[in-house]
Parts: sequence; structure tokens; C-alpha cells
Amino acid sequence: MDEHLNKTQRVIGSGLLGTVLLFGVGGIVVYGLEAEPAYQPDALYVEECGACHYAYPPGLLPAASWAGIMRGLEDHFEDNAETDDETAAYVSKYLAENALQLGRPSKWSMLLRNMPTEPPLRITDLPGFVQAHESELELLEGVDLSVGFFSPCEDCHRQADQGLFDKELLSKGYGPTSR
Amino acid sequence: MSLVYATVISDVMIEEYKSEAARPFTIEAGFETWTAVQPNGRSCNTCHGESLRIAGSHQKTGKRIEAMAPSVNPDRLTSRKKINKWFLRNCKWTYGRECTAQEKGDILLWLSQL
Amino acid sequence: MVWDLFLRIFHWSLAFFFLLAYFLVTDRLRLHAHAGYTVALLVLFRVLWGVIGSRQARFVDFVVWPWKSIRYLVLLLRGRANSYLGHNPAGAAMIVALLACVLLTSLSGVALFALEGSGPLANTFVANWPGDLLAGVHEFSANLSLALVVIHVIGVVYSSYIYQENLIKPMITGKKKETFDGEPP
Repeated sequence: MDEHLNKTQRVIGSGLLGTVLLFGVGGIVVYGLEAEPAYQPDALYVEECGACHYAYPPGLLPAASWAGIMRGLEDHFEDNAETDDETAAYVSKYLAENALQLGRPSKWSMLLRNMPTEPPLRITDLPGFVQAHESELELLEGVDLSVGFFSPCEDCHRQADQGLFDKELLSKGYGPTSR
Repeated sequence: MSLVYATVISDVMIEEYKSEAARPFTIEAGFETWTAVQPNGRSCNTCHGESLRIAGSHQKTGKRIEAMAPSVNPDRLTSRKKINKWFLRNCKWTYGRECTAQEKGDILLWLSQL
Repeated sequence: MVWDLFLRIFHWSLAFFFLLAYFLVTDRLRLHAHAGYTVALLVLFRVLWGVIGSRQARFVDFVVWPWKSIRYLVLLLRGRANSYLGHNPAGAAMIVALLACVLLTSLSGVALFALEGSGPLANTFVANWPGDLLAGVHEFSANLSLALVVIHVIGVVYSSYIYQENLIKPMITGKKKETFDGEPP
């Protein structure tokens, strides 16, 4: 009944299990247990890009998409969003630095899934977005989803200004009711 | 000519536009420029609303736009940068071109007493 | 001694890293993924140990066909099951189910992470797998694993009651009571 382990077992056991545990604990040490800091949008960005619509967090679109948007401010989804060169440069830099990026986990990195080689300009056209809103899109089958239906994130995601889109934080009886 | 709700900024800018304007600025011209509906169906009222003393809403996104009238909203006409920016964006959207110094001066004058 | 040292350390490590991964996700994706990798590595260790480890750790000692597990459970509920030194047939089934389930959770997580350009499978054959499907599998198997954990705990507590023996303690000390009457499969 007294099963002692032989030397080989002990060597292999401690070697392998030890390595795995070292790996595991190492991760805890490196990454820490605390949550990543809360989303803090740049004030100028919010002023320039949040005057007419919700200031979408830069992390919702890849850099290429943001660049495309900044290039076309004169016809920004049928509106004019031009600004002076200095401001445009500042905003472009802010967007590029905080954009959605492959290999950079964030609270929005699920939007990276199945990203096409040429990223779309609209967040709502991201495959990751469509996947995340599959049931809503299903519910709305047959309804005229004119462009802009999903654009006001804050209508359903009541903590969108903090960059939080968790399912648990949706408005009750969610829908475009706040307008 | 300085009006009830004029600000230092609006006064200065009106002065600057004078040199490039063909005619003296009038309140009536400002009102006309602001409210005239363009061939594309747009006017400044499209977003700012029929009354500038209450908030309007963006014609596409529905986002609230605070009242334009300085009598109600003391923030208005206090930043040259903001005035320039919105002239740039909104004239181009409404008229398809930038506003002339004449138009800008008329509008600022009109707003200064609203 | 029933449970060798490495088995015991494995058991509690798996519990720890699985629960860590399960409960810390939001705003901690890197830590979450790392815990998930650790779970997979632990499972791989267990599989190896199930081949070369101590007697009661080896799969040949306890893994049985599912109908034997069901028969054991029925007897247990009637208070008429044999006692086993190593894993009883129900425990055996739980082990297989749990190992498979957490491994599936971990692997689907690795694949999902790869779709986001992170982790060891980034930029590999996984690149075009459907994200919604993987996400569904990952979420489902994670929850199923947790459900199994709950059942496992209930099972251990219940068996402790039936057998009049604290069955949690042996997984810490490695030692069980001397008497048993169960037969190895």
C-alpha cells in the first residue's frame, strides 16, 4: 500500500511539474492580479470627435481604419469633420497609438477576430462586431437597418463613455430608446 | 457696432472680416444667411433647430447641440478656434464651400444680439 | 500512501489556475491567457503522469467504461457501494470528463487568442477559423468545466459522508484509511 516513487519518477515528476508551476506562477508575477487601468479618452479627441456623435474609443478600430477616416474628413460619412492641421495631426497620432492591434490584448480585442486584410472604416462593419451582435442582428431581421442604427453605442451600452461594453452593463430593455 | 451679447472675440473677428467684406454687416443679412435653405435641402437650422435659444440635435446622429444663442449659452462666441472650426465644417456641409468674410461677419453680428 | 506528491500538487494547481482563469478575464486578458496555458500544460503533465506515475495515479488503475461508473453511482446512492483505495469508478469518470473539458477550454482559448493575433498560435493555420464558433466553444466548455467542478465537490463531500471518512484530507496528506474492499477493475 505504501507506494514510494522511484528515482526516475521523482526526477521526471519534479522536473516537469516544477517547470509548469514555475511558468504559471511566473505569469502571475509578470502580469499581476490587478486589472488594467480604466479607459481615459483624450480630452481634445473627445472635443473634436465627440461633438456630433459618441467619441468612439480608438481601440475599437485598427490604425488603418482610423487613417482612412482622417484622410476623408471632408466627407466624413456625409458630414464635414475637417479641422486645422495641428489638431488633425494630434488626433491622428492619438488614434494610431491607441488603435485596435493584432497581438495587443485589450478589452476590445475581440473585435480583431476574422479581420479582413483591408479593414473597414465603420466599427459596425468589423466581423468581430457582427459576431458580438449576432443575436441582436437576428432579432432585427427584416427591419431596415439604415446605416447609423448601431452607431450610437451609448444608446444600449450605458457605460460606453468609459469604454465598457460588457453584456452585464447593457441598458435594461435595450434599444435605441434614449432619443 | 457692438451688440448686447457680443464678446471680445466676436467683436475682434467682425472687425477683421470688415476688410474683406463688400458691404457693411447687417443683422438681417446674418439671419438670412443662417436660415436660407440650400438646394441640397440644408440650412443651419437643420442641426441648430428653428430656435437658437434651445438645444438642437445633429440631423444624423441625434446628438444634442447646445443652444447657439449667447444670451442663453455664455460659452458661445468665446473661442476663435471654435468659431473658425465650425465655420469651416458647417459652411462646407451646408453650402458646399467655405463661407465668405461677408457671410461670416453678418452671421456673427446677428448672433451677437441673439 | 495513496496519492503521490506530484498528483496532489497537480490537483490543487489545476484547481487554482482553472479558477483563476475562470474568474479573472475582464481587463486581465494576458493573465487570463497565461493561466489558461498553465491549465493545458498541467493536463498534459497529468496525462503523462497517468502513464508513468504511482499506481493509483495511473489510468490503468482506475479508468473504467462509463456504465461501470453509473452502476457505482447507483450503488453509492443506495449506500451499498464498495470502497476503493484509489479512484472509485465515479471519480474516474469525473477525472476523464474534467481533464477533457478543461483541455478543450484551454485549446479553444488558445485558438481564439490567436485570432486576435496573440499567443503561441498567432499567425498560424488557426488564422481564419470562425471566431464566433470558437468563442461559443470556449465559453460553453468553461462553464461546463465549472459545473463539473461543482459536481465533483458535491461528490467528494457526499462520498465522505457515506464512507465516514474525510476524503479531502487524503488529497492533501496523501494517506487514506487502511481498510478497503473495492476491487481494481
